[in-house]
Amino acid sequence: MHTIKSSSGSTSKASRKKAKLKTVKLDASSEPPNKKLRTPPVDRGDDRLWVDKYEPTIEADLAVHKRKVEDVRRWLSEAFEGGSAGKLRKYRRILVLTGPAGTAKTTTLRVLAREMGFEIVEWRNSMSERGPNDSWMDTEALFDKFQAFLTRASSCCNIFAASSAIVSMQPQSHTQPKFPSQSSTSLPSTSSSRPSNCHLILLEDLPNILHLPTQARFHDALQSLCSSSESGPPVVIIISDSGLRGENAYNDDTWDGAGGARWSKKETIDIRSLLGADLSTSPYVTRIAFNPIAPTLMNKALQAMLTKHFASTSGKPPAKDVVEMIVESSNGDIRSAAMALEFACVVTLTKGGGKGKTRRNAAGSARAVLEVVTRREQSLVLFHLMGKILYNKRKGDPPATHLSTRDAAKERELDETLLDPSPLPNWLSEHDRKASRVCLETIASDSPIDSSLLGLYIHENYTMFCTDVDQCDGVCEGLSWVDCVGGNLPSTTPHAFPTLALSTLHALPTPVPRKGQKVCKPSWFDVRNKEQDALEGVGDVVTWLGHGGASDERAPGRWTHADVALELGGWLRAVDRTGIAQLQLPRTHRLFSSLPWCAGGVSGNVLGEDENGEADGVDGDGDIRVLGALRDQKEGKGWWLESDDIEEAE
Amino acid sequence: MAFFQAKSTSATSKHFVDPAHQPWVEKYRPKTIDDVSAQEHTIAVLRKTLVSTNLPHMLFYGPPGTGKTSTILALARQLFGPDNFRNRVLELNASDERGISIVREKIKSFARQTPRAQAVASDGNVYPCPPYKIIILDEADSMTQDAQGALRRIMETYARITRFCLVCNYVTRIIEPLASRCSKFRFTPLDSTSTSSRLSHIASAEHIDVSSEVISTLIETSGGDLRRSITYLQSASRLSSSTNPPVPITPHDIQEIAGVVPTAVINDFAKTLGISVVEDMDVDDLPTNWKLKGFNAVQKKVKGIMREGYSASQTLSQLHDTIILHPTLPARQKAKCALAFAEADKALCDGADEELWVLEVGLRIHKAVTTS
Amino acid sequence: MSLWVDKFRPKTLDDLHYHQSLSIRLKSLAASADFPHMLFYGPSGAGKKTRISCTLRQLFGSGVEKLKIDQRVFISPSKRKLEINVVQSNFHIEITPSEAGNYDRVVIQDLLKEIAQTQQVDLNAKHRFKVVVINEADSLSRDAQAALRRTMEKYMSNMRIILCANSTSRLIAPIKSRCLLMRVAAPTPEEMQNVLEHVAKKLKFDLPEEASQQIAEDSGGNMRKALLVFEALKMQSPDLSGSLTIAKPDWEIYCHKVADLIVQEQSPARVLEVRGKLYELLAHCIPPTIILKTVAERVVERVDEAMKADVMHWAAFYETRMRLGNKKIYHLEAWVVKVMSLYKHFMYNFDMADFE
Repeated sequence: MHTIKSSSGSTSKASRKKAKLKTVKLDASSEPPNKKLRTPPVDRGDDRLWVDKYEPTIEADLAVHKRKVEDVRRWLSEAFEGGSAGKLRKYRRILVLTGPAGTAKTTTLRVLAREMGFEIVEWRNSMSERGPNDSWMDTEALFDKFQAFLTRASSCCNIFAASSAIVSMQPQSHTQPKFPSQSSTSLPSTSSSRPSNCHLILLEDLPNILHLPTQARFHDALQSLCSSSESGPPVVIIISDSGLRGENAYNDDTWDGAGGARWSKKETIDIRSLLGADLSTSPYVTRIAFNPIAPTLMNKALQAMLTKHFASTSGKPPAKDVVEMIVESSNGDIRSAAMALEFACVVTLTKGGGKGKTRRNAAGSARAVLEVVTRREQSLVLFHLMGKILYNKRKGDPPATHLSTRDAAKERELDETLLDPSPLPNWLSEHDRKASRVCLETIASDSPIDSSLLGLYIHENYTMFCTDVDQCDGVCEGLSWVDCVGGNLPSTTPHAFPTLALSTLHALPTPVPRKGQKVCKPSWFDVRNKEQDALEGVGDVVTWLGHGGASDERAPGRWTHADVALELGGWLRAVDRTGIAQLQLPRTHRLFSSLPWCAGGVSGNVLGEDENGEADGVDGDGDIRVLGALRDQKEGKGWWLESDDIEEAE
Repeated sequence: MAFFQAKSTSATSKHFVDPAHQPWVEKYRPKTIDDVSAQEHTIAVLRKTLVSTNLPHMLFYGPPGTGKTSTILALARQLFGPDNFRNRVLELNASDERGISIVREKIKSFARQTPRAQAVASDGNVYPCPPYKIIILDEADSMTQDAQGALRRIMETYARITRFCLVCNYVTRIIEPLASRCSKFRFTPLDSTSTSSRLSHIASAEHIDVSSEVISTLIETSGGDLRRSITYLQSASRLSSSTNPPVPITPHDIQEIAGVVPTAVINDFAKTLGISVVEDMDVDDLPTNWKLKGFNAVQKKVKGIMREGYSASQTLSQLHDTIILHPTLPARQKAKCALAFAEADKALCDGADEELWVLEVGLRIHKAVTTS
Repeated sequence: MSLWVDKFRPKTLDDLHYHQSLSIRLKSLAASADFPHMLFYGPSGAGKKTRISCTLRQLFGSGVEKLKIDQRVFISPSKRKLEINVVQSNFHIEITPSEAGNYDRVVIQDLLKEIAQTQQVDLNAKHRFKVVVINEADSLSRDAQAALRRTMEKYMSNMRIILCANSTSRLIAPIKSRCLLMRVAAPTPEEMQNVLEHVAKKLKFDLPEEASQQIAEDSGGNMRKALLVFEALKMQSPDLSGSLTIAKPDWEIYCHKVADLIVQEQSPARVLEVRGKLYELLAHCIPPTIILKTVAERVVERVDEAMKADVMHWAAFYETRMRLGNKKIYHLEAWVVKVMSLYKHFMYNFDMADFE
């Protein structure tokens, strides 16, 4: 069976959906593909998703910030042409694009490929496609195929350069034989001024690098790519941040200065495990971090999509506020926004368009549906939960200024239903409190988060709601007690949640002054990530010392991690300053050895009723960095898992 | 010789230890139950069983180093003689794998092999050699509840041809059904006379010169545990004989070997906290300048102790004895101190930082003693 | 130019500068045929590891210094793969089982069994046994210690175990009773000065008396720290004359400033600020216990005598909680807030007895 699918002008934005990308299978028994690839197929009732249909083809359509695209473009041109002096070429070997899912990394690359006129040769670990007539027995392991692919791709050029079709070669999966090997190349269909054998290698679907031996081989393969003297094609690796959100990802083992699982490797894929310690700091590797897509840009792109869509089909586009709601709840992920938008339109359409109903009703019902779909409901519930706990409303509190008289009257009515607690004996009189308006059972059962996350939220925010240190003492003591009593129990003990909530409610002042406080997301995850990075820096230094980096003999095992972290800092910095060249200190030591004092506090990320997206355009983190400088900000926000967690090995 | 190797028939007993380097604990283990010192009641009962050869299931419990394992081994030796000893006795220890499956398999397979007896042994003596086997379960209190439950069933099933002997420190950790099937024998801590005579006997057998001071330090530091005293004696003799000519053993050596904090250090610490020490025979009349120094003095002293490397729990335990047994300190103050010691012990067991807790105890004692 | 700590580390027992009686004892033990299991314990930087390697050298000669590093993979009962760095020579092997975290028992059992069952290959070796050095022995779990104890009993002929720990409190009694305890105390300031002068002589420069005194006192009994400070000092002011300011490590200064923050103002806003600083410290891999102790000691210097005991009491209290709990920052912050509250009340003359 030969299915010829050509991904014509539009390259898929959601290129991970392998089923969507069109491929050609090279069978032993097939006819030369050339014949069949002459004309791209006509879309007969195109039933592709919008993410594929309306994928950007030119730079202007991209929702990514201009500067970011500029950076990537510059890197690519330096890689192909060597920059202004022509010398940079050899330093542009590997480009790593990182960022959350759905931030248009792959799309940017494909758009630039089209515009700058080079091909992309991509590696796929295909496990799902099968051809019934294939009779090949798979004898190669998947990684061996990968290595073969790398060699081939670096040295050979595409023989189908002239035609406007795709030649794809995908590897066989070793668990299901009878697949032909395949990888995919996309060719520019527009004219290009570049020789047609200019190509780059794209690795998005990585071999299983969580398996340590494979990881080692992968590092070696990349290393040899970098160090080969003739300049092969540049390699672009795309990884989506798949940080595990739960705290179980990092077991907070008791530290007593000694070792422990704390020092063991992370089990997610990130730059370090991807490239290996040597390459991460090598000048041949560049990393560009993509940020979540800014709301204004996303809005623009979604509107453009709507215009395109409704130009050809009938029906009314959804209301502007629906689009806005989608943009807010997407959290910078344009893929999910496009899906939600499509869904919203479908819903509106099937509800009978706008006929016979007022426009507002249709929009209202669309909103209800969307709320369920886009998880915005979750953030609303959480926002209200935190509000209830932290504002500590009790019976008899004066109504808030923004409430209407009707609502205030309702509040008073509810108050009447609350029972007053019996007064406490004299010696406990300081613990007397008015009846609380917070119904614990309701919030516990409705809560979208578990007790440990509740603890983190309370911890992050409680100081804003306290007027006095003693109240802070009460809250913090409660947090500390629950944590130590719970200990290493999973946070599924049913008592932790109410205990935390009640102790906080008890300790907070009443009434809580309203100062326009904004509830922030916990910064604990960020700190954890930073710490993990710094730990790896410590590990680097320990290994470096063990291999005789500092002295002439190898003295492994002399230094423990704790000693390095605590005592070696001064020496490391002095060496840095005086710049002794022979000693090649691992640069990551700066992650732990320098600790400058800066006055002022730390501001958190706000959790709002209306979620604000990231600041538009201001882009401190997204600059190109040669790896080896200080760590990038990893965004450990919120509570939901990213959509593309990479599966663990074993 | 075979006796010493046959202890663990389940493991590979190819590790033949040179007699010269054998632990003295093994070398001087009692070979007959009459040699076991200071457990009169138990020995009397067991002697009877030797005659009648009708042994119940046994449960030996008591503090460590009081002769539980030695007794059962000696008994077994007297019953079976050196030839049959190996295949009639199975010894399982806590550090071996002891989940339920192991209990079932090992014990079952051992228990099932029918014993064969010979009337006259190779050393010319006649041993009673009753038709059953003995299984010794050392440290039975660290077996899981499930394993103990499984054991109960096995005990019943093979009661005709197997006798169990459980050895443990805390009888409360043995499940009731199991304990009820066994006759319990309590091993009391040894009194100092029997211990010192035993130690002197060993010392003379090994040709070591020990003064009575050394013997008493040995008994003090080991806390009623004869095994520990013998081990300390062996280490001390090793150290002293390693130089040429051999250095005589001093009580200080024993203290170092035992990891005990020198009494002088403890007394000094106590003084800083405001407690005058007994041996000075002072009336409790604190010089006023102690109170002025207060916190800083205590902190400095604690840092000094930690720098010497002494173990915090050991320090606190010795300080505890000094204070609680102090002849003139008022009871109310002692009570407050006792509370501090208890909290510190729990914290240290949980793995807390040593310096902080020694300081905390010191400050609490200081406060209790200087106020009220 | 290299780390002086490593470069001038004594290699034989004769080269050691302090604790002579210990060295004599070790020498005679190594010469005798009856070498026991040993446990070296003492504060950090006192010289335990140095003495262990000198002892090994005394036992086996210079062949012990040819080291190679391996990464061994162990498989836990739950089929998890653990990678441990193992350093070995022909005569000994050195491991840090606490790297395996909760699975250290597996490492101990497998590795020791393997070693014990192989005989010493080199017939010219002075001793028939192999030595296993276990670092950070006090962070071994109970299970691992139980496994270790059994192994020590069984395999006495083939193997000797040397444990290195900061304190004996966390080791179970059966292990302590099977080892010869070697206490390595911290050197006195005079002894440290001797070492510093020795190093200076080797490097052929002059070390003024007051400089060495200052360094020795500042390091608090930690020889390694003293040498590092010495080297850093020399790098920044090569002639070492005049009055020197010994730079404390960054994190220590940071902690002192945190303590100042606590004492200056006691308000919820200040709590937030202090928390940010604590987070910074944690993110730089400073152990939380050290943070707590350093800040507490500095706070204690700045408050009134009557409050000092309470500050340290709560420090001990929350440190214990920190060990049991999961999130260190809660307990650190709880201590900070408690101290602020105490301070505030003390300043307003409240009755302190309520807090007991």
